[in-house]
Amino acid sequence: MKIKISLLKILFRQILPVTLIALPIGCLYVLFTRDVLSWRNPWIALFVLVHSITIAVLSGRYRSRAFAFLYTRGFTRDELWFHKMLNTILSVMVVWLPMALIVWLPVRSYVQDKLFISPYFPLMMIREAQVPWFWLAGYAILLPLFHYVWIRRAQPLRGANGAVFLSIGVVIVIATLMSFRWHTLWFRILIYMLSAVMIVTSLIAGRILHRNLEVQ
Amino acid sequence: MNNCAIRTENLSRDYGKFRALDNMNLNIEKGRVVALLGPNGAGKTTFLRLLMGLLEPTLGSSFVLQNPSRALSKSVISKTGYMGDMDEPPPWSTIRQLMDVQADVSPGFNRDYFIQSMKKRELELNKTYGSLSKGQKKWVRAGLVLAGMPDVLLLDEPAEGLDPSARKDLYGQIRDYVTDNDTTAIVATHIIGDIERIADDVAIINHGHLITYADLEDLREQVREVQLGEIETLPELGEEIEVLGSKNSDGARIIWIKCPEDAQQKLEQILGEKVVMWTVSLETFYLALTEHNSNKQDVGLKEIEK
Amino acid sequence: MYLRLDYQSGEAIYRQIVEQIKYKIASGELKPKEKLPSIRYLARQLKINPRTVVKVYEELQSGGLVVRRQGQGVFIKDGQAAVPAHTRSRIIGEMAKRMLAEASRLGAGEEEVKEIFNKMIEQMRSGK
Repeated sequence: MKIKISLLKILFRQILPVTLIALPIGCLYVLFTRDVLSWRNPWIALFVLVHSITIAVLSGRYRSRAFAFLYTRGFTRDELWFHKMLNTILSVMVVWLPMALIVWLPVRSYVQDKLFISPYFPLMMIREAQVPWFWLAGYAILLPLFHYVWIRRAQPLRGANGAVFLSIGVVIVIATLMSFRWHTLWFRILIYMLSAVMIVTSLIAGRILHRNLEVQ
Repeated sequence: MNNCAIRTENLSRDYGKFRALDNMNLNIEKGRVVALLGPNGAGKTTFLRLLMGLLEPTLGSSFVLQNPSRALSKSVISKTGYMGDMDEPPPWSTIRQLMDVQADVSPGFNRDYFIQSMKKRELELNKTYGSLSKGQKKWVRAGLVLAGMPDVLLLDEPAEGLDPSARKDLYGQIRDYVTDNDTTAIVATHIIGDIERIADDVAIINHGHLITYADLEDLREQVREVQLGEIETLPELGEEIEVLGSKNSDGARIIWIKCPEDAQQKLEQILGEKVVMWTVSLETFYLALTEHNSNKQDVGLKEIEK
Repeated sequence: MYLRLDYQSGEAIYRQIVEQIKYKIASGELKPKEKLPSIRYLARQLKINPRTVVKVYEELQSGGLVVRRQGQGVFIKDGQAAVPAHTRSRIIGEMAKRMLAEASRLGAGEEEVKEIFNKMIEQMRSGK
């Protein structure tokens, strides 16, 4: 499947505002928060959740004129789905990468050390380096799921209730897991595997259902 | 022989309890231009959306260039030009961006044609779509669709809301394209004057039903209007003469019939009086079938053979 | 070649064109061996569907008035000094039929029609 830049540009416009809002918020938080970043950080978890939901909702406006316009230009549904996913990845990268770089490069460390005279830095920089991967994992798990929910909503004759409950359930499970204090290795591996399965399933299911979309 | 550009089989669509389209069976040969006429709410928009694959049918199926509508292949979808009411470009997009998007999708996109077309109305390429007037918007959208050099055109009231001069220009553009390219087209409209020059066939929809599908010239040859005196019930007119509709007007009974050439004599025999047979414009025919067709029956003027 | 189409009358378009071309041939406006416009050109000029023009040319061809040469176009048939007598009679016959039908609608009888007709011939003879 070839990448059509013009299509990407039009799709990205839909989520540009959200991306532009999320970027400074995320970066500023990561730059200035005094607590040591851990994968349990509820604020960032919330941030990832909200960002993901808004991306899914804004790109999921299948009853919109914009989708009808794009489909009637001659793009196939699969092409549209693929570019939508690409678009999502783009938005995530635009927000996540700077945040991660602030952590990985001595930027946060410097600010915390010199401006806030934090006792944790520059020591904690090495510990914190792991953390941005959890954020990425969060996006990876939530986004395919939320996309799936929104695609289901645009199906003819089918309700989205099941999918909505499923995603709420998943979020609750993730929140619960995050609040546990310890995890054995096998448990962690299990979680990784389940997550991978869920990501792949959501993507495949989303793509298949996308072919049945109606534009009303 | 698959000369069928557009085909539907028992195509039906419900919205809840409301049946918007009921059992549409249509076979449109390649290269024919069909005027799809019908009052508002008759099902024209639903029909075109089903053909394009934007909606899922409740029953039946439809095919464009032998592809099922819900799964149009890449090549078919890029050869099909659709213009409806739901597919407006985003207001912030510029005309140039729209051109790029369309060019990206349609392999045969003719940039020169599009640029010429925009020049005709002095529309600069960096104007945003949202800043255009209604007529200009339609012009741009029609230009996009036609510059893609489609083989099939599905147009849903392309000139709706435009003043007569803008309508004339728009239909002129469509007409010239169709003339040059042997396109198959369905143009849905309720303004008959716009379409009767370029249409080969006419299909009339009312209340979700296809009332008739006829060759326009055959129609002009076969349909006649007859004025009768005041009569309560119509006598039997025989097998060859089919009554399409009737109305009472100023003390006379007007009937519209489909008949062969020598019908005048037969009619005079049956009715026992001199009969004047008038030719009938498309508009009159349309009104006869939609407003004055008391038995609401399907009028077959064309054999659907395939 | 100027052709006038009437959409309101309900008469078949191709027939209207055929009639007018026949008339032009009969009146000499279109000369033998003259080339008629191409299908595409006429369709564009009259703003109608090319199929209708095809029908017109086919009818003219089967009526023996034009001849189609592969790759070159459609030409008025050669070898006619003026319009052949039978075509002329046909055209006049059709006009007469129309006139008689109209007269009958108006309630005129055979005698009245003949009277008026002879009067008109008189007027023409005496130079209006």
